[in-house]
Amino acid sequence: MNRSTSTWLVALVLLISVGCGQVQEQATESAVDQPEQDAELSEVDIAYEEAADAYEATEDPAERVAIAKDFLSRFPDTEKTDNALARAMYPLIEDLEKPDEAYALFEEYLPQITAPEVKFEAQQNLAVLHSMTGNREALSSLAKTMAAEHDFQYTDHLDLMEAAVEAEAWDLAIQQADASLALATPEAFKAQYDDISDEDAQRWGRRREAFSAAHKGWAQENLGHHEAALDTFASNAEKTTYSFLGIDDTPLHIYWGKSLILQGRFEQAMEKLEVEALYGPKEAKEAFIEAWAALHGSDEGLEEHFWSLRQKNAKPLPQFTLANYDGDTIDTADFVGDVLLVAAWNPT
Amino acid sequence: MELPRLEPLWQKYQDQGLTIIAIDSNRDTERAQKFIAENNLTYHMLEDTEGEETVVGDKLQINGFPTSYLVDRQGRILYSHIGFDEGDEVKLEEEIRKLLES
Repeated sequence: MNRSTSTWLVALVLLISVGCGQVQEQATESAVDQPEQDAELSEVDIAYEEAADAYEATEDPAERVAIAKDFLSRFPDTEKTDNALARAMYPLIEDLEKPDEAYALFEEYLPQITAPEVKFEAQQNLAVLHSMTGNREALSSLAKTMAAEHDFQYTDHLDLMEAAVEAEAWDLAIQQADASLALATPEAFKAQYDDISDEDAQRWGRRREAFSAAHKGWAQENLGHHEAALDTFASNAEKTTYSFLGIDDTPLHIYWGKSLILQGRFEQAMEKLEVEALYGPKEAKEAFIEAWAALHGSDEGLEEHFWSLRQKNAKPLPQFTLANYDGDTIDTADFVGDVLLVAAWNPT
Repeated sequence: MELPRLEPLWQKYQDQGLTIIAIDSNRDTERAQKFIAENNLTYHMLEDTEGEETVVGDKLQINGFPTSYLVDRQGRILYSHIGFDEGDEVKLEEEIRKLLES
């Protein structure tokens, strides 16, 4: 796996965790429904809840698989079977150390799933597995199966597009990008979120187009369609949105810069990568350094250059006040003149 | 995790004008306080606001964690760090020193 795709893997891993969350949610819902029919939870429900608790309590993938397998062996055919099958398949993907074992679980359990939505989710996770192992042919054939069995939403195309880029299955990436582009309309946004304003629907719809186009352009470049790639980037650049630091909310500028590097246009590449290299993901800085070194023969002078770019691009920190755990208010205006490090975190 | 690695920097440079603020964007008070106590974190630990406009998501436009901004004495964001890898604290210390001296 190269670094250029590792960032987008985060999104895929998120997909996995969201997937598991959905499985859990379905399980909880049916467990809640049960008491209306009879006063007590069935043996299956109780065992499933216990298994689910044990599953959540451990972070060890092998243990999670074992918990799900144990449940399946005790209750081979119940309304919980699909969810348990799903839980048996997913853990090994998250930190893929044993691809063969992960594949074996999918081969054994995926065909046993009956509910279409659980099956589709399992297929999405199998697509992630194919992308992580670079199994292009299997990914393309899976994509065909999935398309034949389901009505794809915008995000379904996106997931496959990113999996395809990860696996360097460029034709599939372009195909999925095009399909997602067809659904990346303001109208689709309005249909999905009924309280969204026309203006926002327009803006987010266009940003979706830029997101898909970014991947499409990168795939075109990798297929050797250099001019088409540059055309894709240029014609979609104005559709993207930027953070207040000037970072592209889509990977368009990063893929544009990386494509220009592949074409030997290093100065243009640095221009596209400039803000991303300062404030964006690490791969942008690495690409920028690559372009600099290719142009200058070494990375000499690079630190000075970055310093001047920082001076040029620096934005003021927005002022804010927040409370600490003792209830005291902290105002960033009180720290003017200090060097200030602001770190955003989530406790785990 | 990034936060415990910031504590030595705070201890070392607070007298020279370094301030560190950490914001829990999830408002997961119980976990946050446990983590802070376990790691003896002594710099400013804040909770994000509830409701429509949040500091982390809306004002600072941060949506991946951990992310940090390093701000110079003129209040300008000169560095942003997305994620935190082994050894990143060395780079961060260089940047802090550079900003403290400039």
